[in-house]
Amino acid sequence: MYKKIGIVIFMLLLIAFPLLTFILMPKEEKPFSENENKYLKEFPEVSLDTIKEEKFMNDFDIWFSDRFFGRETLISAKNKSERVLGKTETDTVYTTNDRMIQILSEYDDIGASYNKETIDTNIGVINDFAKAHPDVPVYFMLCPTSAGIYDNLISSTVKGVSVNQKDMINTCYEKLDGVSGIDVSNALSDAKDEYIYYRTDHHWTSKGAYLAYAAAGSELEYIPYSSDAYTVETGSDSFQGTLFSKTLDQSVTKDEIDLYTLTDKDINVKVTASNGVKTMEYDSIFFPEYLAVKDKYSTYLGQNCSVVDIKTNAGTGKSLLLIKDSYANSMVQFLIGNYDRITMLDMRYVNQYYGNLVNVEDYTQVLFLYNCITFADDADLIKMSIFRPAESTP
Amino acid sequence: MVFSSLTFLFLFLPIVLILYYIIPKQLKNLFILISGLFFYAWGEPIYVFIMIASTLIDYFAGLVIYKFGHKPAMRKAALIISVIMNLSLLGFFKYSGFIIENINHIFGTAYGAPTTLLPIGISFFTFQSMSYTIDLYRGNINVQKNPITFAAFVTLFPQIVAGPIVRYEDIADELEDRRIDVDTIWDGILQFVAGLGKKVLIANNIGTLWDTVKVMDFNTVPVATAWLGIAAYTLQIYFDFSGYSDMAVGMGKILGFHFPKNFDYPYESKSITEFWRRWHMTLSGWFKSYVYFPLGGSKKGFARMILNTAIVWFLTGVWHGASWNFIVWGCMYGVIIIMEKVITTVLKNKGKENLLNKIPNFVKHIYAMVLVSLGWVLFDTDSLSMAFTYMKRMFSFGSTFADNHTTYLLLNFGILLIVAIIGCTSIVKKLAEKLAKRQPSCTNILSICYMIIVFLLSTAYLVDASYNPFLYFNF
Repeated sequence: MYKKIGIVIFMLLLIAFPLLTFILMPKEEKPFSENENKYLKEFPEVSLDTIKEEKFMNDFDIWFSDRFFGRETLISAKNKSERVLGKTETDTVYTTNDRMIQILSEYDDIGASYNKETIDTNIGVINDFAKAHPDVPVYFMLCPTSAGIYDNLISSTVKGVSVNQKDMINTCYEKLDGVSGIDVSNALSDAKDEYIYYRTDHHWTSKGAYLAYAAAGSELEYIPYSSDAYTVETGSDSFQGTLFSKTLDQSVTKDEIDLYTLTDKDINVKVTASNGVKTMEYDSIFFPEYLAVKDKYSTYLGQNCSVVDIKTNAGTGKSLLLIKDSYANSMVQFLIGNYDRITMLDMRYVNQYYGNLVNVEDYTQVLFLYNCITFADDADLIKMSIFRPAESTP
Repeated sequence: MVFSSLTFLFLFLPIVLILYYIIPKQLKNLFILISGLFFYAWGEPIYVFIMIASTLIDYFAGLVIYKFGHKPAMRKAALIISVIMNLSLLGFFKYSGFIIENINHIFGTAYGAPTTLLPIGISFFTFQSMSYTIDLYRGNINVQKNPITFAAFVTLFPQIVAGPIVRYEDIADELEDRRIDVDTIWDGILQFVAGLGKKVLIANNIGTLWDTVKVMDFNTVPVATAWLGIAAYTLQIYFDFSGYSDMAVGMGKILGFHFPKNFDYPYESKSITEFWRRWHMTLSGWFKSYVYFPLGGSKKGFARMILNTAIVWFLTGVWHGASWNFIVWGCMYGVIIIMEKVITTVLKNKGKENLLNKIPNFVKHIYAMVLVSLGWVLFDTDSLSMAFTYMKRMFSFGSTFADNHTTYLLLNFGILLIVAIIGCTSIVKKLAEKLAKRQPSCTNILSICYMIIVFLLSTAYLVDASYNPFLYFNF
């Protein structure tokens, strides 16, 4: 009797999963999975060629798996069972004390890649840039990620194979030539009990960005506003960021998106964003429409694009060229109080000589702002050296 | 298609099983043929025609051998055609590139090697069809006049891609008439799910440890990491391969076939001879029947037996893949097995057989497992020199023994390693049998729970299949 029950259960499992998959399948051709932060595979084209080359079969497998019933629950169950068996990270993410931390490691399968040669190349690019523009002071802010600040929460075994970000920052700063390194690690470390990094995303929070802004004041020669000067509005308290997408672990508390504005001073901005094809204008650095979607960090200045030019009425007479990764986006809400103009250049989206997009000599200062994880494996900064002015190419 | 994929488990399998059970008996073999061709074509849309051609040739060769029973020359010709055809298929797809490469190397020539990929499972299905014509020629089996039944034998999907190597005589009766009953189906389901778990839950996960070590610099990898790495591969290949065989045997039972056993807890062996009696049993069985015995086996004197053994092991190495690593790997086993034979024979002649029994069992286990692990180094490194560098590292006890990364790997894979080591012994099976005797009803409920849990967990791991390798593309 029990054998019959067993057989029936097995057959039901075999039939239920595909049936539910087809019934509950999203109707769009190429739906977006917000939690996994990716587009699901389209149904592959059926033709003699695609079948002959096995493309149809391979794509079909992915199509089916992307829409499989209970996919996210199953993946998160898998991740949990792996951790029960002793696995310390899920897809480079270490979870502890209600916090997801992306590990940075020389071993690729443990954490985000740490590539010494890339780092040296990138430092070289910054030094060369400073040499090419001797009249404009150049600064470099290498920001620790949460792994650098919360290394006390990481087990010693994992720490043993991950990169010490403070050492990394110091080593990088020692190699700078004609560039001033700005230390923000200490300011962030001192405030590690505050909400300075997201629990489920790889960015720092607005508070973290504020601390870096405040710490950079003496180097960048501005007087930072005190934190009391701001009105803080919590735009969302249900943010589940990029690290959540890697683990799909619901147990970590969702994050808040906080928006800072000066209470006593109205800073008007004119934002011109250009992605090379289109140029768009906005009158705010906040894009609240992103508060309603998964990618809530984009509330700060929207999607990344090659050049974003921000003009303000701060009236300081200073301007800043900011060559950066996405850590800068949430820091701009503070910088606009101290600069008349901030131009952000995101080298990931620039595929030409940077001089075509900005005239470096127009700016009072140039700041390279990267977080340790991006900088350790960034292959885009080198484009500043690769693309040269048109007239100098033979 | 591979068994450990969602498309197979949740589309192909349910549809095929439902149709298979509801269609009338006389259509079942035709249905097996169609589903087998679809299964194979999903992974090899072009090479499926090679399989069809090979099936047709063997089928007609069989008819000729049968019809010309009174003309030995014709019988022989048909057999030779079948064997040559199968071996040249293997030769062309599997070995031509390797042979040309070596000719170029030796003579400094630059012949272009064919860029064809190896059809999946070719080493398995050619050996299977050859068993039919050879056994028919020898008069061990009856001819199969029905082309559909014969084609169903070759294309029976559970065993096409990675064995076991089912000989025609193993399932000749069941091809004609098979009983499908509840007991067999349930047995089959349990074995299938166990195999799925072995592959997806253990082999794939322990495999990531070996993959980590495999890409490290073999000249500097710490000693302990080297041992960890090869231990991981040793476990991976067992769980992967035997898991695949379990899935095949289990599915065979669900369809009403009884395939031969392919693995019998090989890592419990106390000698290399014993290991090869328990590892990939259908392959060793095939070589024994079709190479070793025809060459005279052990009946033509001691020297001849050693030669025959050497030939079999050379061929076993070659069968596993076209590279010097596999050849050296096979020859290594040949040498060890001959040595074991010599030692036991010498001791026997001197009447001192007891001497071997005095060696404690754990020493014998260590002896066998260390050699088997060293064998896997040869098996899964890219060149002989890399294999030897790695082995050297394993015994460089004077240098770095372990580093932070070793500790990290132990922390991450320790539990899985222990589970896998227990899993490749017969301990769990023995406990289950004991329990079944004492508490039959409790065992029944447990076995259903076990099936559900392993199946669901395997599904979860397959959905997020960032790592799901297929290890037999070389075979």
